[in-house]
Amino acid sequence: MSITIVDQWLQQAGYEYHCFISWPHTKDTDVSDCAKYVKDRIEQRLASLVPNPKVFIDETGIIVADDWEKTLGRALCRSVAMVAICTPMYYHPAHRWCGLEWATMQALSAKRLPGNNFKAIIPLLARKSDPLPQAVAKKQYIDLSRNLTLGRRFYTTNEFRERMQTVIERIDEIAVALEANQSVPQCERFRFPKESAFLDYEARLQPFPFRRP
Amino acid sequence: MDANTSLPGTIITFYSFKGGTGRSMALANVACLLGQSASSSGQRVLMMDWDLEAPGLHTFFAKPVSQPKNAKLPGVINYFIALRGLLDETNELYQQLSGEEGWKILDEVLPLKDYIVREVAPGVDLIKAGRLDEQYAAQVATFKWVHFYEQYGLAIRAFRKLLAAKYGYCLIDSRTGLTDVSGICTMLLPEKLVTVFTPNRQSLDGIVDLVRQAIEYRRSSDDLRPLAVFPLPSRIELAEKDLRDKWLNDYQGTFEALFREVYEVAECDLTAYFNEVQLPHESFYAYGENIAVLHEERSHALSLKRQYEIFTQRLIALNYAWEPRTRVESTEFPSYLDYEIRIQSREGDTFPLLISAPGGEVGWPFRLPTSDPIYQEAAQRLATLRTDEKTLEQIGQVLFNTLFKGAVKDVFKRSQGLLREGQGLRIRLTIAPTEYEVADLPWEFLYDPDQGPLALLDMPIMRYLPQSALIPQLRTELPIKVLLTAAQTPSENGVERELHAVQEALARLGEHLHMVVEPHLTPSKLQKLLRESFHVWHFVGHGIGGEAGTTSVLYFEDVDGDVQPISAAQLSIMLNRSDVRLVVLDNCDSPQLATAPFRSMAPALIRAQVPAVVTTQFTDPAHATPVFVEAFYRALIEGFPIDAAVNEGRKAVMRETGLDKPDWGLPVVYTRVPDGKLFALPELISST
Repeated sequence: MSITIVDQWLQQAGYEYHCFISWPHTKDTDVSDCAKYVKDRIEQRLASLVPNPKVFIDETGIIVADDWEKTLGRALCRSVAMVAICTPMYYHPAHRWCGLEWATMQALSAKRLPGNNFKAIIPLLARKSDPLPQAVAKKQYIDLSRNLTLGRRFYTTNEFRERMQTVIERIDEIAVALEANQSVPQCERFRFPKESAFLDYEARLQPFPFRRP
Repeated sequence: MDANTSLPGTIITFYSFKGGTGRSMALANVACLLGQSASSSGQRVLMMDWDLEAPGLHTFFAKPVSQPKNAKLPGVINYFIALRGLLDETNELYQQLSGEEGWKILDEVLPLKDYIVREVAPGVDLIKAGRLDEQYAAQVATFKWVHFYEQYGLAIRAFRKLLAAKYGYCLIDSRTGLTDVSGICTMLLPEKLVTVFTPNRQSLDGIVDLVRQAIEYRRSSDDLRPLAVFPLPSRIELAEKDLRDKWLNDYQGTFEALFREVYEVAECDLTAYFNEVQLPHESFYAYGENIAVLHEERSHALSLKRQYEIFTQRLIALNYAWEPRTRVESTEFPSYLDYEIRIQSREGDTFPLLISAPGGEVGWPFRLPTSDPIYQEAAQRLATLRTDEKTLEQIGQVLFNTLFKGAVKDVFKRSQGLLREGQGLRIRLTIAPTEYEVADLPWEFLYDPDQGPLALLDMPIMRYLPQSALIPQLRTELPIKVLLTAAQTPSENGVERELHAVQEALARLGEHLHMVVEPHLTPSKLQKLLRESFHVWHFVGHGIGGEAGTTSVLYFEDVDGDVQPISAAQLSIMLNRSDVRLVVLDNCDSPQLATAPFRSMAPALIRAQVPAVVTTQFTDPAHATPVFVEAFYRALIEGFPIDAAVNEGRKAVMRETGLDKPDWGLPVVYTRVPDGKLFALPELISST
């Protein structure tokens, strides 16, 4: 993998994390487990490619509004890529930090990967949503929603490993492009977006069984 | 925000597209079986009759249901009418129920207990469809489920969480067809869906359609619970062999294709599942409402009772119907790759450390963490068994960070990355025999700051004591023979209590374990008993260790009941060339960490060709001992390697006593068997 070659440059340029995991915080362990399994798998795979793999995940979910830029925003800005664990609640206004994280990485991608036809966001659909927000629908997402109806056992299968290998390849692609563009983080001068990327998303109750939306 | 929580209960819906499949009967039988096994763990089973238009589940339990105190109890329809009334009264309640912990409020404003017929069978409760009085038909006909959902949809989520919080298993008897109620039962509530069908096209096609819609619904939902479908062919006529085989091939192929499509999996083979799971038609049960698992005394191969046992076991143990059968026999039984850590004799201030693992090999100087003030304070607390969760985390993390540094950590991460499906990583620790300071460190508490306590994460920790002579696996038949002994030195209640706790726990393992109990062990009794070819010797009592373990002894009784110390050397002579494969040294009722004497005893026993020694001590024996013993020995019976079996015990203890007490980390495994497999047992069909 080429990330092995460019990793030293990434560190010198100021990238602290190879990946940032963005997920909707909830007390439901099925969601947090998904985020942690994804994080562990990325870290394990990266460990065979780079000497010091670092994946950022906020497990606490405790964010004071004024501190967002200083804590999560800063980590996000210093990340090579962002993996988003997408469920309908990810886009919901009640989880506005998710929308803000997406908007931030979107803006960072525009600056860092100007000539590239991909962005530094890798959406993993844990559950699908009908319709998806525009920002997600336009991306090349990885759909795990059918597999994940099998539950946690999926995380031990080769199918999960294969899907996560695709994530690693995308991170690799982004890392190489950052180095090619000589895009350094420049977080001090970065103006964080103030609005969620999912303003077009209409939060509503899932239709009753057997009814169409 | 609180720590993440997962509600313990499992909601299972029984659905059939058409009536007359024996769905309610299957549910009643499964509930009774679950009730029998779940009651020992304190979990109860709830049955709910949601077949509102044709209620009938209560008739299987006519006697308790017809008792005066139960006859007029309200049921499902009354619950939702009352809930709608409360929600209509105030908007505030719906907002409260919509929160993540809305189920707690729901139970306060509308207690579930007011609707429950208690103990209709051992460990089993029931909520009827309704009061079934003169108003019932009108109540069912006028309740608008779709309207209720559209107005108060999140209240149904709160209700589902309430069921999972209150019961170990909640079994729902669903309405047939594609109706509003069957939609709730199959899509909103369960995480497992039993689809009962008789071998005919209508029954099968209807289910295929429903399953397709149910999975599609779940994958679009915010409910990240799984929805695993378990087909249950019912009323199979055994006399018609050709037809039976034709239909078996037909429905197996249908479900395999369906599951590949809806779960998007490449492989799905239901041969093993359908070879065993089917309910034969038995004329006797066509009449009346008899429950086979209660009615039939014997569970022989051709009995309906056995068929229900087989299905229930798979329903509970499997995550999905085509999961390989080996996982049923031993619920979580991965093969292991070894992460081998060899700590050699001291050189100056450090100990040469050699790592050999799938992720590579590396050498590194290891430094004792004992000068770290954080470690010192935490270790002091552990020594006096006064810990909390943070203390144990600190000890484990200091040990982890001392050991897993730099390249060692890289190899660890790489090794984890190389694991294949079903594989785990085993920490195999080999410490130079002279390095007692290193051996005395509580390695079992190793705690990866990114992942948690390794021993509880299916990374068993084995203290490996290599010997030149290899010991082959013992090919043996069940039952495993256990010699359970105690030495009451001097006579004290702690030993007696522990002995009884172990004895009761072992008795629960039934026919797979044969036990002989000797409550007053003397050396001559042991010598005599060892001639009887026991596989395991479980010793409850005390011991003491000298400096560097050289003079450690176990306390036996003499013929007068006084203390008789038996040294490690004496014991190794007595055990030499016995059939004992495993010695369990159970140190009870000690106010301090007292495994050191047993630790130093272990190498002597290993030298005497005992393949493995497990030492245990619990601060809370009343709670920890029964669950550890039962889980540990059950895993042994199921063929787990010794370290994995101890891990099963650790997890059971952790569930019982929590992470703040050190009990889960106190058992220690010593072995000379590289892969930890002490026995070659025949395959087991049932582990319940």
